[in-house]
Amino acid sequence: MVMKPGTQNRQAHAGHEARFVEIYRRYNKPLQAYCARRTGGSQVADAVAETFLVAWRRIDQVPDGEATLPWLYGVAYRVLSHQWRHKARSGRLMERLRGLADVESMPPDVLLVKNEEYRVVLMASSRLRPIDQEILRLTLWEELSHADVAAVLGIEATAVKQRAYRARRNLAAEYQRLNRDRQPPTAQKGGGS
Amino acid sequence: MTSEDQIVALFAKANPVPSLDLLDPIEPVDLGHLTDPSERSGAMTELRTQAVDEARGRRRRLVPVLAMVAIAMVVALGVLFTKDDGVASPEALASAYMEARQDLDAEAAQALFAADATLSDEGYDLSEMPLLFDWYRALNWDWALGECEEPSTGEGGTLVQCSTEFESDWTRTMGHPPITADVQILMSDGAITNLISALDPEFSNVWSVFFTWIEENHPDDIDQMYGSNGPLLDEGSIALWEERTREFVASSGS
Repeated sequence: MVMKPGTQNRQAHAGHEARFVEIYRRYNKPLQAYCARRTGGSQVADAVAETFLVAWRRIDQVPDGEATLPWLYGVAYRVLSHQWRHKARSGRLMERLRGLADVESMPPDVLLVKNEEYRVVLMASSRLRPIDQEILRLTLWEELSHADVAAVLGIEATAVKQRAYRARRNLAAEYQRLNRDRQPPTAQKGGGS
Repeated sequence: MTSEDQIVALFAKANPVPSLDLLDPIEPVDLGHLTDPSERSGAMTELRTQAVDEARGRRRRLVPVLAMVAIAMVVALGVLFTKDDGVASPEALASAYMEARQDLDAEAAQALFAADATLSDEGYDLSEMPLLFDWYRALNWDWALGECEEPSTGEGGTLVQCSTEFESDWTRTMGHPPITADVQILMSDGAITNLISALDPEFSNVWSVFFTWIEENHPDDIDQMYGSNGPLLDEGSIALWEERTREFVASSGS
């Protein structure tokens, strides 16, 4: 059979479209969650859209199977790293906590304590180096393996393992420091004047 | 005392989106056109155009002559080269870049890049680096060098990550502590091929405070100062950034 000129191109194009649509359908929600865990408001939609646009432009480079989602997270990580450049910025991780009260079924007093604990632990995490924060989020929120985290960040899995260990230790230290700072000053027993 | 495991578990629970079911539906890319065969090519053209617009500042431009000449100058000076084969070690290359960035010496920084290097994730082109450094200078942006880590080598080349902190007239005026940033430097054959800088998200707050001040005091300047992907990098715009930052500092002190 003789193909008309351009037929192969059209077939390849249709193949790309089909793959892109499949990627979009499968990973739209996880990617949206990834972005919503790191920013807020309209920036979530912007970051998701930009990540998919990158995926479309580089559709030949998107890896297959289980490697697809870490690849998309890697793109989203870079997209979010540069969102500060955009004009209007207000989305902060802490703001997301306000929404939690609507979805958790706890008595108000318990919820208040929980939210305060979350606020403090998130504040503690914000004191870590950006890449260590991201490793904690990827391992504990996206529940990725060290190998997948390595794929997202473009570093070696052994480096991720070492960093994850250090990040957990530093998170605990910062959390305890913040809690100490928040304690009201106590009267010194037998103190001076 | 709360144990490390308990604190880590608390962080895991503090996940702002613990379930995908909690997400509001969004439609970041209109796939209606893509799934309709009669409109496929048009939709893709539209997407491609959109992609170009969205990714302004990520154009791939080659600067072979400039970069090659600059690299040749570095070779001639005999700086950086620690190996017998005349190729800069990853550590030396990373340190040289970070020092050039600290000194805001764009020429020295550019000389460290490969001729076909792209700054695809940085939002500007290699050829725009002098203007970017001028913008840093206009805002009295000071970089403090941190440490660089051991290089790791993978398929894409050798990666060295360096930490840094910076202050500017904005942070100083706001009484904000220095902002941390991690810079990942990818290199191959003794030249930098790509960069990824991850600034602490806290910087978005600093950025927003100044933007709000501009919005309130000089709304007509916005289009001359801000592009879709960060500050507009041309001489006129940078002069305006400098002037407005000076005013912002003065007004905050009054």
